Amino acid sequence: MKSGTMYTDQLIADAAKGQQVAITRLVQVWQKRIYNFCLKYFGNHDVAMEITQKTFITMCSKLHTLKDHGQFRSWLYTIAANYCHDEKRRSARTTQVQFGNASDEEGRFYPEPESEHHPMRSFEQEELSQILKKALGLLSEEQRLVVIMKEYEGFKFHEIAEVLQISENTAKSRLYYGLDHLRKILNRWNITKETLSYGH
Amino acid sequence: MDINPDKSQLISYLYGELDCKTKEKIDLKLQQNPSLAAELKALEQTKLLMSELKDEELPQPLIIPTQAPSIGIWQQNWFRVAAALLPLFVALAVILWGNSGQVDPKQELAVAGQSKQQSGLSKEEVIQLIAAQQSKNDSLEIRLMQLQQKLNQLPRASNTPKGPLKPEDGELITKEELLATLGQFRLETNQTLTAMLNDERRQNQVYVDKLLSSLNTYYDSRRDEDLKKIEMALTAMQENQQLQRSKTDYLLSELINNPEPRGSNPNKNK
Repeated sequence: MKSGTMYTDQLIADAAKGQQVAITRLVQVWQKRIYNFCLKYFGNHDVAMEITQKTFITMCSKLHTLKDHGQFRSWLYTIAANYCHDEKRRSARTTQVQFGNASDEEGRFYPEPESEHHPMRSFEQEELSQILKKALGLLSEEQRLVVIMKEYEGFKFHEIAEVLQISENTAKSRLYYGLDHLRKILNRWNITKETLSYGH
Repeated sequence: MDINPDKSQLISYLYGELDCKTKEKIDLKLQQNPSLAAELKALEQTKLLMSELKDEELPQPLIIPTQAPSIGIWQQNWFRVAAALLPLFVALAVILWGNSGQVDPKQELAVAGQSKQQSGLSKEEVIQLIAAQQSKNDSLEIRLMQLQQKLNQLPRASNTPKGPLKPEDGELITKEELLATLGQFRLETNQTLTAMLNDERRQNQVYVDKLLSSLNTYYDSRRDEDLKKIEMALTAMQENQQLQRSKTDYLLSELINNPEPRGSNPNKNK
């Protein structure tokens, strides 16, 4: 673990000096995480790719300003979160970000027209992922960010607080209500532990 | 949004971010308070469900321009505008020359004449060069106008329509010299542009080579990892197969040695 951290620190230091190979490697190491972070936030591949691209372009140009290399992960996610926020605001002015058309504002889930079976009877991973993405998309932006950072990116509460510039208690609160909201949505759609194991 | 201490601790408990003392307290609370325990269970189940949302692979690797200058200088808008304006400057000079019949030989129209080392030009430097050139063109125009005025003031000016004019500093320039200067300027500009394009091409080639080598390394490491995983899976399958085989052998030997099914009463059929 220590050698891994040292390796990452060295990589960041080299990248900050402008070494192209180090920058490329750093992008390779982090691109999947940032892409998935954005994908879960927007539920849309194209937007996720765009934000990921922007995040790494900013990373390349601003990396030399990062004093503490130990803060790299938080710093990188702060950039990504800011871009997500900007994109959300921008798209809100034009059109709402869609997580598919199979759910309404109240969170009721409707099967796709071409699909004849109810989602609870079809738990192929892809379909399940789509349903869970839609559920995430129904959360408020604030709750969604915290849920993604905690549940999928493994941040500690104090790190979430640092990235989103909120208090630790607010982060916990957002996560609690986010999970509670998700529970209600999934219950409404009959997505339970039992229906999940039905398909396996 | 505020949250009561119970819920705050509950969420920390759920993600294992409590110290031992507080954790014990919560454990106790959960034993005493069934509704709190039910709440925790509901949160756990939601967490479990949401964990089914797996990561996705990037559909294509990112191409990040890691160095600003590696973007082709000719691909940038300001350069395109400057390139488009360049012929206009030349045309303007020719028109002015046509009107006056004389220009100051000290004035230069070319960007090329000012910068021999084009490969190292930054955006700001080129903008400065263009701005300088524009100001020179402006001053050239003003100078010509002044000369024109002075010529008009000369009593014999109207009687000397042919031949070179004599500007203030006493230097003469003919039409041929001006054309030669413009030709030289055009040549230098072409050379500069060619050098810049070649340099950019070389830089891009180096960048692409490095990118490809990084990608190769990355995919090699991925392939090694995949091979290791496959080997591990195969080993596990073989072990499992061996286990199943031994179980089958055991069951078969049991059946052969004890043909009577377990629990059956031999006296039943009698």
